[in-house]
Amino acid sequence: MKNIHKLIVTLLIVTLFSGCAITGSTAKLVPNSSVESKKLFYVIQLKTDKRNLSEIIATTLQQKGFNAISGKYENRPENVDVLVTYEDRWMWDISNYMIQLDMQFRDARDMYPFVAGETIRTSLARKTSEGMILETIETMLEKMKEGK
Amino acid sequence: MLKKVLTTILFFVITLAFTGCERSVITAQSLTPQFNKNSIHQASIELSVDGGKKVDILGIQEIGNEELFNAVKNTITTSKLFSTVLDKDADYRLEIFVVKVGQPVAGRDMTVNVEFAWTLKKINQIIWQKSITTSSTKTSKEIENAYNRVVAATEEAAKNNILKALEIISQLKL
Repeated sequence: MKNIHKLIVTLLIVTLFSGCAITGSTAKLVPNSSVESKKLFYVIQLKTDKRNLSEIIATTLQQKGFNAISGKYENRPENVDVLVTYEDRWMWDISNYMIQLDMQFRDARDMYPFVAGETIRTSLARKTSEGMILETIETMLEKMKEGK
Repeated sequence: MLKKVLTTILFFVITLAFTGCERSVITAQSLTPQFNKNSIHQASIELSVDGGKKVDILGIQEIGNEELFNAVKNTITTSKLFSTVLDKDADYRLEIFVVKVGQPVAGRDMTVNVEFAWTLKKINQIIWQKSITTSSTKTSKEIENAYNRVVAATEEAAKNNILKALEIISQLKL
């Protein structure tokens, strides 16, 4: 009986702690989409974005060799080729952390997406905003490379 | 002493396991909106759905391809937007791709944003295409159980998306 109790407690502890480290970064290519050029990326700043994520996304894209800027949708330049949209979800566990980031690259002509990425990281596997953005963009770029 | 504590824990685990709140399940029926049209397009249509998944890695229900396929099929059939829905060789082909199901993991008011990319083809040629984003918010006053709140918001956002797309398609001159 004592052994069974010990086993249950061990299982409970394992379940509690392993459940806190879920990670996944995926991307999917949207069928029937095409984008003529990828010279200039414009990251559309979310109205609710108080953490300057749009700027971090633009900087990350620049580091990956793309010409990228960010700002409000209505301020986008005419010569933009790709619009970048995103949605961040946050959780609290001792401190705030980004649990999920969704991002899409879209044809600037009609907003039709051509690749969509998603990264999920729970508390024990948390990353900074910069880390989540980098992981998502790298997954999306890898998918685009595979899809060619 | 330890035995008593462990027995109490065991009791709580068993109690929780068996009294856990009933969870809503996303089905084709729960994704099917009310859409009333009458014989708009005298042509047949076939459907395809991709990009969806039933559950995400956090265990939260999303939108499965099969459920969305049947929801759109039911809506078109019931509304008679097209004369018939065929498995293949139809006059038109409607392709739906689940771009995003943005769900919250916590919160009192839960907003879900859903994006489906819609493409209508005739003999492999795109004649209409639009990516549509729709949202739905459910509050704790409306639905007490947080999990069911996310599910309900997901269902409503998906229904709104189907409605929006089919409304546009109903206005196309095919």
